[in-house]
Amino acid sequence: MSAARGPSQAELLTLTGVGRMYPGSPPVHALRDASFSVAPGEVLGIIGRSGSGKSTLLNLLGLLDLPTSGDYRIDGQRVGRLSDREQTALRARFFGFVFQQSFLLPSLSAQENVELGLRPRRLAPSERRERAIEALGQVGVSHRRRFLPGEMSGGECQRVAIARALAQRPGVLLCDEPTGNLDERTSNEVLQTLIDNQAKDVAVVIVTHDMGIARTLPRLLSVRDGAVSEGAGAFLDAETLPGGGQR
Amino acid sequence: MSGLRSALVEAATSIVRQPMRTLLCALGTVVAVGAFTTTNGLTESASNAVSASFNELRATTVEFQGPSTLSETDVARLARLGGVTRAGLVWDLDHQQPLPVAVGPTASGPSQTQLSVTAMSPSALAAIGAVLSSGRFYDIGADLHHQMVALLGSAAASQLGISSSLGNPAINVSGIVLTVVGIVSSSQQESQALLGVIVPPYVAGVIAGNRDPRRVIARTAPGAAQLIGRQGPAELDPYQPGQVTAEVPPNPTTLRSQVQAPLSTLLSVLSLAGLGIGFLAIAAVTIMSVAQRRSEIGLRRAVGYSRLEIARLIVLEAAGVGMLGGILGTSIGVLATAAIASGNHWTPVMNTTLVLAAPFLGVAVGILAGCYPAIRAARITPMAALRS
Repeated sequence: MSAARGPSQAELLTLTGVGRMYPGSPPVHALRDASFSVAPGEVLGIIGRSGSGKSTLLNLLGLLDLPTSGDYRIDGQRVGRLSDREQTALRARFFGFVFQQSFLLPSLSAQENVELGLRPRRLAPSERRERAIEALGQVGVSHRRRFLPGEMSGGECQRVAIARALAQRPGVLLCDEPTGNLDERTSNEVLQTLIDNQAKDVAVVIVTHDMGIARTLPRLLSVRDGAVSEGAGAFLDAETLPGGGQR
Repeated sequence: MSGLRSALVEAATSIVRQPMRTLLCALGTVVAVGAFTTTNGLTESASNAVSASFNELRATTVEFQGPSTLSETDVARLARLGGVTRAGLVWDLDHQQPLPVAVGPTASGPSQTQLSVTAMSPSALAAIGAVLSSGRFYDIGADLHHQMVALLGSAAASQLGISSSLGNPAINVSGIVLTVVGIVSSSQQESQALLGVIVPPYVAGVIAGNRDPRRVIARTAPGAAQLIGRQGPAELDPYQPGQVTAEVPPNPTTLRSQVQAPLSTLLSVLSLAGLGIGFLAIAAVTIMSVAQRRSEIGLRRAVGYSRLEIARLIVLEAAGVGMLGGILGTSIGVLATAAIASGNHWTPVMNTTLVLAAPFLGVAVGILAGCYPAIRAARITPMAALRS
């Protein structure tokens, strides 16, 4: 078990001994005994090699998946006993997602794609529009709001995806390799856009396997063989093993 | 309510923004509803045409066959029966064998030819609905005064080179000189007579004797034909009614049902088959569409769409596609019915209620076909979908 900081009333996300096991023979323990917390407005990196369990952890954090053991609380609310509908509502209220692919719908304009994330909230169309335009402005692509995804660059698409997540005004922005498909310069710009939202009290959790990106983040968790530990140590140790990757 | 409105807007956007997918998806419904509308339209039109073919003329004509002894007096007795409007005596001379006919008083005049000769009483001319193009009909006085007159059918007249009865041209039939008093251009019945010479009963007796079997053509009031067919023989020959046979038109109602029943069944089967194909087509394309849109569905689930909202969106899209297919199919069906009906010289007849309801049939097919893909879509987990 790894616990960097003990849970407190101020923590937004709190995991205590959380694990995810996939049945099979033998069963796969994708995540084991993870214990940590995330505070509002905190920027946190999760680093690990491919298959280490970092995406599993992100899916659990964002209620895209449920833990098979341990206790996970969002704003003090235990999630293990929630129905699918309650999980969906909680996910919509607390989390914004940015994936490696932008997942923009090709037939919708940038603004309509951002509005898509707001539809489950039953907002008035005018408010939905205002929020979308504001979010597109936050990530610097408001001038592209009428463009279709096919008419924008990869970086712009990813910014629109970030705007879609920000427009939901989430408590936590969960980013899974958000710069994985971008060149270095665009990657830095997108990363900066994400981190800038710290000032808006949005916690940002970024999953990456790129140490270069991880170094720019104020707090890091390493995931190795399903085990979570504070800092980049476990990841760096793994990289020095024979057959390890970049450093 | 706002959720449903929002879902409707989303479904409409999806349908409009992806025209190719929509058209492919709608194709099945277009075919199905088009087939449904066309088959029903054709059933109605054919039914109307069947009704038209059993029109008043055919349904109100009874033809009797009897011995050569049948006379005008017998026919007058028949005409007194309630329900008989007109009746007349007709027979073919020399058992329909053509007789030599020449223009002019001599048997070997110019344009000599062989023509059939039919005897008709003046009342028979009215009963068959004969129409003159020239001259006049002979009347009862022709027989009374033994006038040697004749009418020519239009075909016979042109064969003999006689274009008009003006000046009463003479013809020679088997050595008997007759004066042509009129040319008959058309007849609702006995059109065969237009190919030859028509003579009054007295003249027929002079030419061929009175040995040929007679026919009596009787026109009846609507609905009376069956009854007249039963009563007629006894009136025409009270002593030997068995010698007279009646040819009664089939009961229109029965015959119409006999014709329509298999037609309606066949077309109903075709309609249902069409709808079945449309159902399967929408279901198949929607299932494929759901498979292609896994990541989109996963994203929607991730941003907060519930399973119900995902299912509703898919069903509404399928319903919208069904409606579009229904409207297109109905339009095509109406046009096809009009074209086919016109091609068959039928009056296109459509059931208005059915035409207005057909697009909603498309919606119903869309909703039903969209249910299974919607359930599949609702079961997609965001994690699996976004990973794929």
